[in-house]
Amino acid sequence: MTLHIVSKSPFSSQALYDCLQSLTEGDVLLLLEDGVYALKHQALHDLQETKVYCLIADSEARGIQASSTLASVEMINDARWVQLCTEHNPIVSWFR
Amino acid sequence: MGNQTLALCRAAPYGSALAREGIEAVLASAAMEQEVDLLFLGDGVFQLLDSQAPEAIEQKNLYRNLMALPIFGVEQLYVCQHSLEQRGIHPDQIQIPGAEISLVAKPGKLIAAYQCVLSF
Repeated sequence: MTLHIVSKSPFSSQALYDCLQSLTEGDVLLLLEDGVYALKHQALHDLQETKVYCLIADSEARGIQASSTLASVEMINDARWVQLCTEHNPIVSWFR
Repeated sequence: MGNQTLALCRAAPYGSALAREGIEAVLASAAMEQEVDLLFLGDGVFQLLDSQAPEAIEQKNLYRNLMALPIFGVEQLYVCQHSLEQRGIHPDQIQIPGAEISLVAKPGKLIAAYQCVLSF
């Protein structure tokens, strides 16, 4: 199972779009840095069957919270991020 | 698909150094007998157009580097079918002599088969 890490805002970058095009069953998505702005993007609402994680330090820093309709997003700390990296293979970084 | 590493090429040529650096990393790996497969996705598919002529913008032709891939033993190139269609590129326009180009309908399935993915 692939861990996809998106670190750019979907409002200014193709990163999330290209990532979503490359999701397959069982893959998980992690939002960090400006990627956390995806919590405000419609594309995430359309993602029903993919587990989504978001780095809490980056979302709090930007004043972004997951809306209540995004029940499937799990807010995580750095330790959980490291754990996710050990649990998944390969890891794909979408940084632009 | 016996290789362990996939290079994901998403950058158009010339606008940034990323496209060239990706191909150079793959060529360097191949020279060290570390085989890397390539997947062109998004604007990365623009690297494959054989009509590139960047002399007037004082850049080296990236397509020439791509043509070197088969010489270094990199013969299997994967290309996202949807990315081509979105950009109005017909598969016939992206021939590389000596390389086999496979169109991929589900890039996620391909990616999941690798141990390591490098993003460019």
